[in-house]
Amino acid sequence: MFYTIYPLELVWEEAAADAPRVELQVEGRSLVAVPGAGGQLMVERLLSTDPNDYLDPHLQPGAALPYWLSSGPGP
Amino acid sequence: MPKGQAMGEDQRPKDQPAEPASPGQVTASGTEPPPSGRDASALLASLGQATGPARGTSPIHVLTIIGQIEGHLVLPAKNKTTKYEHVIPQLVAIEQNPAVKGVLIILNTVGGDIEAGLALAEMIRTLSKPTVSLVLGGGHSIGAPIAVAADYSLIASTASITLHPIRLNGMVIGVPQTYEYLDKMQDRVIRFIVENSRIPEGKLRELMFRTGELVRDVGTVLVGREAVEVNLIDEVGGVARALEILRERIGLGPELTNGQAEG
Repeated sequence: MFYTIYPLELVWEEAAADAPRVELQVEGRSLVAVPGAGGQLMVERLLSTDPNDYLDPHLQPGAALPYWLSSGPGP
Repeated sequence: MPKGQAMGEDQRPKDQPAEPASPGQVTASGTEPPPSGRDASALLASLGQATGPARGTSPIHVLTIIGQIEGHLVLPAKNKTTKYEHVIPQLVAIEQNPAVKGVLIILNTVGGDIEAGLALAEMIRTLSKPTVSLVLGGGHSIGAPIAVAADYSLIASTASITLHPIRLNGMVIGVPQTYEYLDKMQDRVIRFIVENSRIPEGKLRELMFRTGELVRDVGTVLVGREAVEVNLIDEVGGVARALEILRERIGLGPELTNGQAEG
C-alpha cells in the first residue's frame, strides 16, 4: 500500500523501454550502472553510506567503468 | 558525443592530459579502447584509488532517502527509488561497524510504500548510534515518520512536509472492511510520528485531515519553520548545523569536521 503525494497512476505508468540497470560491486562498493556508448557501463548511482566514497572521481555518476567490468558478470 | 562520455571527460583530473591516453595508461573517460593485455588487477587497483582519498570509514555515515520508497513491489524504472533491500542492510552494517559513530539521514522523498517506510523508520529509531535527519526539498507522506525517527530532526527553510490521509484508488471490494483497514494503516503512521516527535496527536490529525489547503486533496503542506512550529521537526537548519549536532551527540570535536577514522 502506498502513501505518497504522487498520483498512483503516475507512479505505475511505464516509461519507454529503458536500458536495463545493472548492480555490481567495485572494490566492495555497490554501484548501479547503465550501459553507455558501445555497451560500456556508466555509473548511475553509488550505493554507499560512506561519504568518502562520493569523493572518488571514478565512482561519480557518468563515469565509465573499464570494459572488462562491462562484459558479463563481475569478477 | 554521447552525454555519458562528455561527463567522463569533464571529470578527468586536471593533471591528466586531455588528448587520448597512451596504450598503457588507464583513464576513466571511456573514450579509448581497452588497453590490450592489461592486467585486470592493475585496472581494478586504478579504479577508485588513483586520486581518491585513502580508503577508510568516515565516523559519520550519510544515508540519503530519495524519490519513492520502494517496498513489496518493484516500481517502473522511470521512478527514482530508495530500495528496502539496499537501505536495511546498510543500516545493519552501520550498527555493527565500530568505526561508524553516527548517521546523518538526508531526505528528499515523495513518500512510497507504507511498510517499507515504517521499516526504515523503525531501523533508524532503534539504531544505538546517534542519528540526525535533515529534510531537504521534501519529506512527504511516509517521509514524515522517517524524518522524526532520528534522535534529532532538521528541515531546510525551503523544504516541505505534506501530511495527508492514506488514499486508495482503483476498484474497492468490501468498502467498510477497506475503510477499517485504511484506518489501521493510518493509525500506525500517526502513532509512530506522535511517539517520535513532540507533536500532539490531535494536532497531527487536524493537519492531516484539514480541508481547503490542498487543491485536490485533504491535508496540509508544512514549509520549513511551520514544521518546527507544530513541533513535528526540532529545528530549521542545514547540513553544517546537522553535522554539528551529530558531532556533539557522538562526542567528536569540531576539528573532526571532515575527519576520517583510522582505517
